[in-house]
Amino acid sequence: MSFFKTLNNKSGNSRKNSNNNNNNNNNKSSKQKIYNLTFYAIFVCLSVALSFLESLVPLDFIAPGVKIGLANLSTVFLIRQDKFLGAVGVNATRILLSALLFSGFSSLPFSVCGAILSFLVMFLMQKLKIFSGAGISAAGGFMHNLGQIIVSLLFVPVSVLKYFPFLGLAGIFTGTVIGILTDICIKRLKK
Amino acid sequence: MKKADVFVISALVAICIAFLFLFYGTNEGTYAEIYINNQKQDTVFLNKNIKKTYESENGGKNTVVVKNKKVYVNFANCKDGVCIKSGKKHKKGEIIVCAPHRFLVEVH
Repeated sequence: MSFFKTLNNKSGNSRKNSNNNNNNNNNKSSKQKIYNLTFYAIFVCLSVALSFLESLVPLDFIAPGVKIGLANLSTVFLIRQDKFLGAVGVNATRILLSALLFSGFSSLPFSVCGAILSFLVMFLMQKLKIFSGAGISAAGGFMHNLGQIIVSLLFVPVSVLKYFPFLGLAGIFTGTVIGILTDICIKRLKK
Repeated sequence: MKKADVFVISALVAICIAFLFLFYGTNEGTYAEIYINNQKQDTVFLNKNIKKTYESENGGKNTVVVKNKKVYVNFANCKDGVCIKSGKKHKKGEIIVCAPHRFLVEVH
């Protein structure tokens, strides 16, 4: 997190120089605002970039629509830091932007339902405080695919359920990998 | 990775594998093909109860019975009667062979 700390300090210092006799409380809250804005903007950027990256990796041979879920790195990262509201915001922005940019709006209901389910599960698991990144992320990936299957039942025949085991396994596998990656990221950034 | 993680991940994997078996593990056959001398003679569907006798070129007789979605041979005029002893078949890929009559039933 040292990178973000220096970012925070810099914006705070420049503000101090510009008006010396400022109200300390007011300064602190606006400092926090700028910090939050930059912090979450960076996460949105990161997740959209990762969305693009994962749209380049075709995994359709497992089942149609399988992705590696790299973009969830930022969501899991924020959830692991107990920034739940931020995670919701970043995720919503990311889904909208990636639907606009890459996949089109036909896949939007799938993404939204999956994201809501997986977020709820990851939120509860993080609150329980007995899981590390791998478990949380694996459950999130699984629930994401479950949500997508539920939505797809509205549009296509029930035979789509046949994909569920493969989608579930893929979600668990990619989720575990993403969770482990997230924990590594958090460890490195804290140094 | 904590113990709880391992538990959660293995539980989810177990769910998936259970569904996998639920959807793909039921390899129940739907029909049986009957071959004599390596040539396809007949097709019988397992959802209909029938009884049919097939004759091969060397005078052999085999009676094929389909009952309760299972196929079996209940009579053969050969010496060993392997085809009768091999019992009732209903899974995909299972076969009943009567070597002396060059007679074969395969479930599909």
